[in-house]
Amino acid sequence: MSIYGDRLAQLEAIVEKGKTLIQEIINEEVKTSGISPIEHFKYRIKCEESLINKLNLRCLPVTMESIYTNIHDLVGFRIICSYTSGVRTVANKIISNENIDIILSKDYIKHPKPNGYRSLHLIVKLKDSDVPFEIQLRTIAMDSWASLEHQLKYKREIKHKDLIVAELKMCADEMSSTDLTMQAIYDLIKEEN
Amino acid sequence: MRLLLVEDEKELSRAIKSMLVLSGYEVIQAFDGEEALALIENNFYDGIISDIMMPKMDGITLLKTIRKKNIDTPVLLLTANGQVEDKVEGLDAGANDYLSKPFAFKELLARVRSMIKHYSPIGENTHISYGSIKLSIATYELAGKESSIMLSNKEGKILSLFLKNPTQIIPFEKLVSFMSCLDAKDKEIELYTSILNNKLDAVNANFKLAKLNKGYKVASL
Repeated sequence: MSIYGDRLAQLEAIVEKGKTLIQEIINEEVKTSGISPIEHFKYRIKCEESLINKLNLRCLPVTMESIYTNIHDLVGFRIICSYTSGVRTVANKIISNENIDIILSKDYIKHPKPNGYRSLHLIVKLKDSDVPFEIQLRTIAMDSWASLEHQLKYKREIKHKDLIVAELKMCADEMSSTDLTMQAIYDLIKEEN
Repeated sequence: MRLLLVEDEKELSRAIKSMLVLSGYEVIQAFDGEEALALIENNFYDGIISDIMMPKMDGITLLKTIRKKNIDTPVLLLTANGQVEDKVEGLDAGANDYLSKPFAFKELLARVRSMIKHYSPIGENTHISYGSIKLSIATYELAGKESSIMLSNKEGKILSLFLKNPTQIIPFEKLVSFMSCLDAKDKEIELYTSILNNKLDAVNANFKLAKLNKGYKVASL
């Protein structure tokens, strides 16, 4: 039996609607500019273990009411774009979609986290639903850094923690730098064709 | 190479100019300190040759004024023979070299060559601050108020040149000297300024590099 009980079907419906929405954005962009800004996308319903960990970490009770009030990423989408311009294009399409309400937008690309993490987070709700969910948007480079950093963070007994944190931050800055160089190359090629 | 010659004695100025032009330099003349200051504030020069005793604004005041504005174009001062005080004051005010009048043209040429060759836009500083950003010379880390990004060696050198000459138009020919592909100069300049603008934007810089008729210039946002 799932921790979500009867409401699992509701979350699954959000996943389906979200998938359709993203696919529509891809189709629209291919139609207008010939190429999709989205490299790939993933989605998940938060697993029980991760959900309970998050509640415990924030000292919140493990009840249905607490889950639906406090946790905004029961359903999560991650959209990976080829270039930073693509992240903005897709985010604007989501924000202006008439079936979606934006609850919160956190721009960690303009304002990276101190550890170097970059991504654009949108907490949204479908007009016909009361369950908020999260859409994360980032480039391939931002995604590869976040995935590797996530793995390293869970390694036990890290020695020289300060050094590792500083070096990881530098990797994030270097990868972001490469991202912006690739963007300029892409723009130059696009302009010439 | 573009030089600014600041000398109020017209005959001497003409003679120095002819000799420098013969040696392959482009020479712009100014006949007093105020005229020179207006030119320096708006144009890029690889070097400045300046007399000290001049009407309107003397050479030392001119030098102090431009250094105060963070313009660090190399300056060769022409001093009257034997005026030790002038030499000391000039060097303290930020002159890169001096030459006593009268001088041999051959020596002037050698000093100009040496001054330009040894000039580095970053001097001995560890970083350059401009507007809302700070550029580290050791690592070419470009830091804004709340985020930072790494620049490549070439990007770092190009940005340093702009930040040390923030009021001037850096001509296309000067930027070409940083470029590697001889067959794609214009495109390469365009690409690198566009890369730098992307990166300045990423650290929320309050300025960008703007394209004008003759070159690029730092422009506030």
